[in-house]
Amino acid sequence: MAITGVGAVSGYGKGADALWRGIAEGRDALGPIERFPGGPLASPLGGVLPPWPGELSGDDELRWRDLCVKVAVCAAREALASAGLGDVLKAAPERVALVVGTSAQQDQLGLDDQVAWMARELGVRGPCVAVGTACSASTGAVGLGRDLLESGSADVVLAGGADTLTPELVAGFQALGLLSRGKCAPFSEEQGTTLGEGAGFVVLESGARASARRVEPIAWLRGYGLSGDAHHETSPDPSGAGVARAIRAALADAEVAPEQVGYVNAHGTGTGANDAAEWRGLLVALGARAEQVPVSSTKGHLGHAQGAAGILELIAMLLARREARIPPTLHFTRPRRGAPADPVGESLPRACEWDAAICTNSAMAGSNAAVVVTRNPLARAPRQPLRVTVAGMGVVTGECATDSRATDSRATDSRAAADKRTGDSASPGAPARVSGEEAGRVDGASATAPYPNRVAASHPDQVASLLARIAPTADPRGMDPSAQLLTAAAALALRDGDLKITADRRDRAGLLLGNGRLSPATVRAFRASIAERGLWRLATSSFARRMPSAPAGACATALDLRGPGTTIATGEGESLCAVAFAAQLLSGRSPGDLLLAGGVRETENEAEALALIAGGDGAVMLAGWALAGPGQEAAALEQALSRAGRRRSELAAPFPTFISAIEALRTGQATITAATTSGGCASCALVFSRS
Amino acid sequence: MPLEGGMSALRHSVALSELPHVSRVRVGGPGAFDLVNRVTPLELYARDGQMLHTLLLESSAQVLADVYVCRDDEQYLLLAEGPDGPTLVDWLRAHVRAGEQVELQDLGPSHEMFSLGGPYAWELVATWLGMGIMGLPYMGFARGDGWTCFRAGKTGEYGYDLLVPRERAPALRARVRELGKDFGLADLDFASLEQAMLEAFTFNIRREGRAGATPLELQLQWRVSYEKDSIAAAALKAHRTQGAKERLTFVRSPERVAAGDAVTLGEERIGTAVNAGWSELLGAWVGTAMLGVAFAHPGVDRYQVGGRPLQTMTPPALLNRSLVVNPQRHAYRTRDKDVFPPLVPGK
Amino acid sequence: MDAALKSHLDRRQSLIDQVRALIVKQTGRRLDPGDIDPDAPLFVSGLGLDSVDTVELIIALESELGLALPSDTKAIPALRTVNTIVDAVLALPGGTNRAA
Repeated sequence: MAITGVGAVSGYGKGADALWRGIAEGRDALGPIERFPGGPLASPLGGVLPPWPGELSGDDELRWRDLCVKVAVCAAREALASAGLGDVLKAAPERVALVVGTSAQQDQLGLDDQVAWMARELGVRGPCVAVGTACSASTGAVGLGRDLLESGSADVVLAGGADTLTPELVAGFQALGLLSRGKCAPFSEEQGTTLGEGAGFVVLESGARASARRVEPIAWLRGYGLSGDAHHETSPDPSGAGVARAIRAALADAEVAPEQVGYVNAHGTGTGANDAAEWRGLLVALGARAEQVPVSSTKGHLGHAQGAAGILELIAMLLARREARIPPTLHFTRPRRGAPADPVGESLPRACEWDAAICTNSAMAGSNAAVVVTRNPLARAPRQPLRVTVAGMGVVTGECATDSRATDSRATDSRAAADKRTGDSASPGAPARVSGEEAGRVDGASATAPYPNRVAASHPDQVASLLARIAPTADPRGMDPSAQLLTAAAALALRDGDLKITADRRDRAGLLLGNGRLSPATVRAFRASIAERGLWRLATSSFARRMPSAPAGACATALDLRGPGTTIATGEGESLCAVAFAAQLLSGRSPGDLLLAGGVRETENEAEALALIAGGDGAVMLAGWALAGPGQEAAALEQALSRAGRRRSELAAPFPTFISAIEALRTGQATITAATTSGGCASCALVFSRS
Repeated sequence: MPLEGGMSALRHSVALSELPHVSRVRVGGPGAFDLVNRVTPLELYARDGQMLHTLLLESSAQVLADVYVCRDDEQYLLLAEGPDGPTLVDWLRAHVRAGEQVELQDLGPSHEMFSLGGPYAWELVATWLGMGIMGLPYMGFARGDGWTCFRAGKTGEYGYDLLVPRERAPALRARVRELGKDFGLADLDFASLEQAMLEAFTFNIRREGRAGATPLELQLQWRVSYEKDSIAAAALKAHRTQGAKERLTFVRSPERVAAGDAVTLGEERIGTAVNAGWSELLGAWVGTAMLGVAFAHPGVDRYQVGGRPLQTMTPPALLNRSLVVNPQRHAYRTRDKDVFPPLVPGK
Repeated sequence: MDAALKSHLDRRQSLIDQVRALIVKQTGRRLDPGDIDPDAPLFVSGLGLDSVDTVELIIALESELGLALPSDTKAIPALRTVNTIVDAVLALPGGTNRAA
């Protein structure tokens, strides 16, 4: 896909030009954080945005979110303008999508709220998606944005990220011992990182569209890769295997060989753990080429901008390429042990013309993302998308109940009847439904005995004992209720499909979570620790879990899912959107690859997951999927049906959850069903069929 | 007193120990997890490539084996001290349930094990097996061409246990010795290995294991779980409820101590010595003694063994060099530039 | 036994109880304090506490026992076991007066 526009707001100020000028002049954008007191730190440093004109609304907590939205909107507008698309939002706003990597700036509202607000300000009416993996979110957003284009859900995608510094963020990093005393010096001395903030976006569109508009792309997004470390809440896998998997996947997706890579923009936070693991990962992924290719980190310039890190670093890379240069690694004195062979430890950008470059980022909870960007649109043979089959489904519900719990005023008589039938456990083929207590009595002593796929658990203890039965090697200690619910649903889905994650399947099995909220239990623990001991002694375990992607990281670690995965948020119905993204990802991978996709809602004690397989031969297929703007369910359904090669007339009324859509297929009531949602900031439609 | 030979290498560089006393059994088949889970008193929260340090207990909660349970995909590898390979296989087989498909293989005849330990063991192992080994976390293991490398260690130093097929062993050992020349590699004999374990207060099944005690008294509760349903679960819980009457304590004496010696305070007998050995490092006898709980605290110099003074200590006996050597900063080659605290404060 | 010895033993018992209770509370493990052997390794092996737990424990030790430990690798020797932590507390000025 073509990258036709960029926009940025950073510590250097408003605009991509300001960013490049700073880098070109060898300056960093790091200074004292004066916005809030620094506690025991004399004056914490950060890549701080310049003062923002106008008043920021809301009380202290919401101010950071307000600033985040404002800078995002500013950067997005600049990106569209630079692509010559200033009018597209008037002409066809439903065909413009927004994918934003961002973090929860405060406790209660979800990421989808943040993104919905950005979309409203911009006038974007296509699908809007937040990516909640924090430090790797905007890199992942670029990749997911590419998928939205390829699936036909949008014609123009604004992909990027936005994040602002908050007292909780600084205190959390400080408590974990991750901050450097001075300005961070990736790959050099001393160890530690410096935080930052900002926003950045790129405009993605097809090459055909760009050339029809007679616009010269800045560069080409050739591929992307995701992976999970499945290792630890805050520390990266020291072997770098997770980073290597993401980079390898990106290179494979891009059909670019290591020898063709001319530059790597590393995550390079400056911490001992990240830098060492990342270099090991690069050695594994690039082999001998790693020792020859320049590897730099722009965090010495910008600080670690969290959700905006990846995109600002990608933009820095692209701006430098315009001048036939690469950004250096600032504050470099001597190389640390385990530093890249060529860390570009200089103060000014170095002359270097690359044809293919990698931008890679890693996050807490082990989510890695990498994108491959090329100078030219290297021709790539069109790939036949693989079919996606539903191999298993797992559901944990708050009560033992029938499908009609899903209240939807559009329920037709036929669907109500179908609901009643699936609610009757005596009907043939109905999925067995078991209460949490009964689950204890089911002879689950064997790791291999069959197990019902839908379990009711009205109390967290029931979820814990369910986990002990169905995922006995998963360590539930240190899992908050959201993580336990999601892991239980995922494990049930795997059992339902008789799927075991063993040996090399681990690298090919991942998890895509739809969730934009923080776990209420974790938030309570987090705030309690602050109330008890003060902000600067907050509980680091709660801080580590205070991300919408934390349950996904915990689940992936528990079930050893090291394949591609991420966390997205679109608000209501985001489980469906997660399935749609998962399907799009799988359709371009290898036969046998597996993705678990679903959602979790801790307040209702619910979670659900589908186990999807690329190219499988199962009976139930996910035949079509599509995303569209909020309220455009009908458009999404039309697209999904078209992908499935089916007509609307073949379909009864769509279900509001994929659970009910699949159960209807499994019980033989229909051979084609659909699940749709129009809530939140994106509509989604999934079409399932029986072969 | 300066250390010599293997002991010096273990404390300052790298030492090589043979491990013929470690049984090695592979458990495979669809029933592998269920069997291992049944006999292990600790939750098997291990991913592929991870190991757990636990115990095999009889239903009375007495210790049968000191074991690493290693998860190798869907199989388990048990590395055990205590019973020999055939005995361990028989014991495991006795716990297989009807209908369970389990394959038990004693790797003793086909495989050898040896260990590299010391503050720079990581450097020698990385030089030998490749820099990738630097990312191997503690209690993790890696598989390579003709070797499996377990990062564990019972001496308080960096430790890497190698499991190699017999026919590859001579060549691999030769290679290690060759590379080891640059690291001052020396052999640590079995007696010295046991002495090093003692100085680390590491449970030795051949010594502390003979005290007839349960994990509660042996300070091995960390190797078991009271919430895990296993063959020893009831006994473990019962002991906990009753409470420990005695506890294994670390002791030292300027004069010889022997297993079985009575420990007294004045006229009162308060416990029994279990294990003791001369520590060249401390210039004293160090050992373990089972003392009444009220007496089982470090920092006491009033107890006696046969009229001779006995002091209680906080283990381990030394500030292991491995605790301060940081692979990101230090290296054997550059050790002359590094300043480390002494192994024993004040020496 | 004489008063001095009794005082020492009581003090140590009281301190190991306090430290164990603190560990259980800070790390949120479902353990009875008595399940933590006084000489069991706390980090890496043994209880398997990790870097996140280290930070929490150091914070708690400071606020509840006045034990200020550097939050980097220099703290490691003092944190090896419950008994090493108690040793560090007793080594504080006025440390031997701690624990009722």
